[in-house]
Amino acid sequence: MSFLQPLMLIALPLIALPIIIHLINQWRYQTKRWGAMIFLLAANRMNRGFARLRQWLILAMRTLALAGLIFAIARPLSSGLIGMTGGGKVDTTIVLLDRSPSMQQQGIGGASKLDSGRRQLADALRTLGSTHWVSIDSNTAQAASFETLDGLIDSPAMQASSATADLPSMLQGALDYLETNKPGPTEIWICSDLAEADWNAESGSWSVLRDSFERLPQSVRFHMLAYPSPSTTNLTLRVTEAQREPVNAAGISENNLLVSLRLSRANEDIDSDDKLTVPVQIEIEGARSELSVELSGSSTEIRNHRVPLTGDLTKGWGRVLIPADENNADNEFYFVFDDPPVRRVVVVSEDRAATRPLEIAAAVSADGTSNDTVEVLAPEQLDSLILDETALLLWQTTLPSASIAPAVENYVNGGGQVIFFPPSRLSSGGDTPVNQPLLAERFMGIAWDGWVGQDQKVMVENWRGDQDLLAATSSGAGLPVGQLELSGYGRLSGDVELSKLATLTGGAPLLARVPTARGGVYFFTASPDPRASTLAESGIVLFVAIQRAIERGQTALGNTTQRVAGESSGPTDQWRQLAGPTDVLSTEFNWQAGIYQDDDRLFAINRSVAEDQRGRLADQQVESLFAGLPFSRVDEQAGSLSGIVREVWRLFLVAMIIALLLEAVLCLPRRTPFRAGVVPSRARKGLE
Amino acid sequence: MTLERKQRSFVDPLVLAQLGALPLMSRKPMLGSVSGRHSSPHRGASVEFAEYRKYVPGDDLRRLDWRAYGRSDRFYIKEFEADTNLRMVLVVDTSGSMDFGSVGVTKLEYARRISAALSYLAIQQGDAVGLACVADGIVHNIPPRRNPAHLTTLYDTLEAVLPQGETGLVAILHELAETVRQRALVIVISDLFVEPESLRECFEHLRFRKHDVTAFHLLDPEELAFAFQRPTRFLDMEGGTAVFADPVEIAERYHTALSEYLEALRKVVLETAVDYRRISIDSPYAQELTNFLVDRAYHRSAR
Repeated sequence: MSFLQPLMLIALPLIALPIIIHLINQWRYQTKRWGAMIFLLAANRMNRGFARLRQWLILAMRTLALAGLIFAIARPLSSGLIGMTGGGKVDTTIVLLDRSPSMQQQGIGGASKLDSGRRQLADALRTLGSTHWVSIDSNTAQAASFETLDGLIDSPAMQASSATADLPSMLQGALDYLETNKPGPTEIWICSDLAEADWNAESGSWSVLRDSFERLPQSVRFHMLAYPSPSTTNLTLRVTEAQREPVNAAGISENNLLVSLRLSRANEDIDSDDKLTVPVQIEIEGARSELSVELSGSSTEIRNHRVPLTGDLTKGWGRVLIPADENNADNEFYFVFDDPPVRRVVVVSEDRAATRPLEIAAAVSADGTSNDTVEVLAPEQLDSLILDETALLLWQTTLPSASIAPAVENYVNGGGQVIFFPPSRLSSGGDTPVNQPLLAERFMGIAWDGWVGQDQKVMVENWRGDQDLLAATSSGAGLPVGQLELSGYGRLSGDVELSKLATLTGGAPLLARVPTARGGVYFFTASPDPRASTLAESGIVLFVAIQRAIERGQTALGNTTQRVAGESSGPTDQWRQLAGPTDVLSTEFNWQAGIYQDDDRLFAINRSVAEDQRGRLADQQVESLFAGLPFSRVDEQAGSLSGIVREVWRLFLVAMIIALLLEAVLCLPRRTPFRAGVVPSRARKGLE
Repeated sequence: MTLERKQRSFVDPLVLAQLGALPLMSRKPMLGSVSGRHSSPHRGASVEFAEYRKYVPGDDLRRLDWRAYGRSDRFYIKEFEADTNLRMVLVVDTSGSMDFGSVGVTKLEYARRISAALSYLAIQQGDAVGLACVADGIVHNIPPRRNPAHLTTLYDTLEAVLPQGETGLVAILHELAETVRQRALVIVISDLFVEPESLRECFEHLRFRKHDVTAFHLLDPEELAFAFQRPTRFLDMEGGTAVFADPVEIAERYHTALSEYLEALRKVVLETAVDYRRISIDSPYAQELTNFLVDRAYHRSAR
């Protein structure tokens, strides 16, 4: 039980007043000479059970009435959030609302968890009388202050999103806000459905967050409004692939689209004999067709369903959708299709022998098809360098000079990928004066600073296996980067902080990335020359890195992009929505499922795969995430009409009135039993 | 020479004048020493015919009914009722509890008034009046006499008696039942704060001795209502243990005890044929005595 006016509880000792008055009354007794002692003694001998009980009951009722009054004045709150206010005034209330698609699961009356959470949060905050609100956007983890509660609840940061929430990042956002603004006592309200995907409970950042919150000078309380009820009948639809049908064996090219989709249901324990036929609508550029999918077991996958395309349509968008169910956010999926761009790789090489491994790695595509074109240019041919429709630029010569650098930078800004390798002159000549022009060139603030030749082999000490070019494969197997051996490596210098993707013994980078807004600029410090390193000999690392770079470049070049909501936070002011929810702010396009167009490029944005997984955090997990922090939690259900925090002073007032009535009934004088006809004459006169 | 009359608080000439017209009758035949206005168990020379009986030799021939002889040829003696006076013994309880009174008069004072009035009436009609003031023993015992001067003795005794001591009514009534000559009018004036069952034996004893027993049961209105508000320490007027009680808590049980006692007492007096008068001492004693005397006159027993 918590109170809005806890100071009023100071008056609680007043409930002893009836007892004190009773004791004073007992103490102020009168003395009387009495003749009829025979009756007094007889009365004393009688069973005094109820009479004594009545006295105690009267006292109890009076005490209860006073207690009810005092509690009513203190404005008690009915809530599962024990010790919510703690009696102190809250300076700032930070709201972390999980807006992920799983929060759109509907409950009683069609209200979603998100709607219920927003309403209940608003009611609770209004009841608690907090004055300053801050919301942490689940998309950007940025804090925004609000002066009114309505402003907070209606803000875009509280509306549904297609992006998976990242609770650790949101808490980090809250922490940053607290550290920057240093408010007084703060309450952090978290509203979530405890989906594993949103909480990322395995993340190492939780322990750091806990420590950071504990170290904060001000008091910070955590309240969680959880909607953990899982869905039971929900169906999920996802397009796994959409591509135009290749020319068939007979050479007859029909304009068809092959759509692969997966339909799964929430209840994974269902019997495989339990079949369900689901009508799936497929919409291509606004034209709809329907497909009946029989769902047996927990999941069904349709491979390469052929959808005829009108005329010579080669590029476009589509979506699939199923009828409304428990959660409408995962009932549709958007996709775009286009012919894949040509894999064009340009190698600028001053030593063909050294770059031969690069050419080979770039020429072979990952799926075995060989439509790649690799163009090799010598440094003196750079005037004819054309970077249009180039997926990857491999550069193994002096860094681009002032005349050529703007073209390369433009290429990078357009999403192009460049990997620089040390020029052969550097690896052979070292720091000799001959190489001075070589060392003087600088690209995006980075320059070669010389060559480090070693007698012993240089090994790779560590590398980033979680992202970028050297990431582990999707099956989880890491690349054999540690097996690489180098006889020397190029030194880098510059005024830009490089992010090292692989580090050699001694701390020098093997592969480093220059931070860019778009595109990718990488520096390999090892020469691909088989005499200088084993990059070519154990070619897996080189091959995978180059293939990944090509893929990225291709994606940037392609006119259609399939994205997971929230994956990119680039500018969307030029985007135009073609399909999707209508009430979306243009600044939110990156986080809202739909089809968007930017000039000729199409973007299909969808929820992440993790959103379709139904794992929920166990209670113990949640407790352990907030271990050591003042944390309270209340579980609610979507569509619940009750508020999580209600003022219940009326109950106490009613209790007080009942107590007073009971006290009055107990105090009613009993009718004197004149059974034997003994009526004092005065009373007799009164009766007459 | 003028005779200065002593003013007594318990004698009201107006009340005595009111009551003077009413006879004090007994319910049973009385055995008196002289002729009076009460029936006697013996045959006598009054004008009221009683019965015929067979003539036996030695009977006075003047009382032979010649007309009956003429009709039946048998000798019958005609007998008449005897009229006699009575002995009235007033048993006044003077125990400590009789000193209680919440209406300006104590129970003892009320008993004095009743005793004085009844004594006056009895002596006025030629009956003998005795007085026994009793507490834990017999404090004063004045044997019955019928001369008017005896009234002064009675009044002096009543005036001098003090309310003190415990109630030893049961033992004393047994004693009086034996010591008072048979067929007397015994009037008990008391608050009767003893167990009704022990009183039953006393009354049966008195009835066995052919006394006509009347009980004036005096109760104070405060004792009946028990309407106290504050916790009270009740001091026993007869010297017993004090009792501390919260009247709010104990009132109901007090009333229960009182009702049970009065009910038991009512049963006892019905079964022992006692003329029982329950009196709340805030009622005018003249009225109560009028009722008493009128009832007696109405229900006078047949000879």
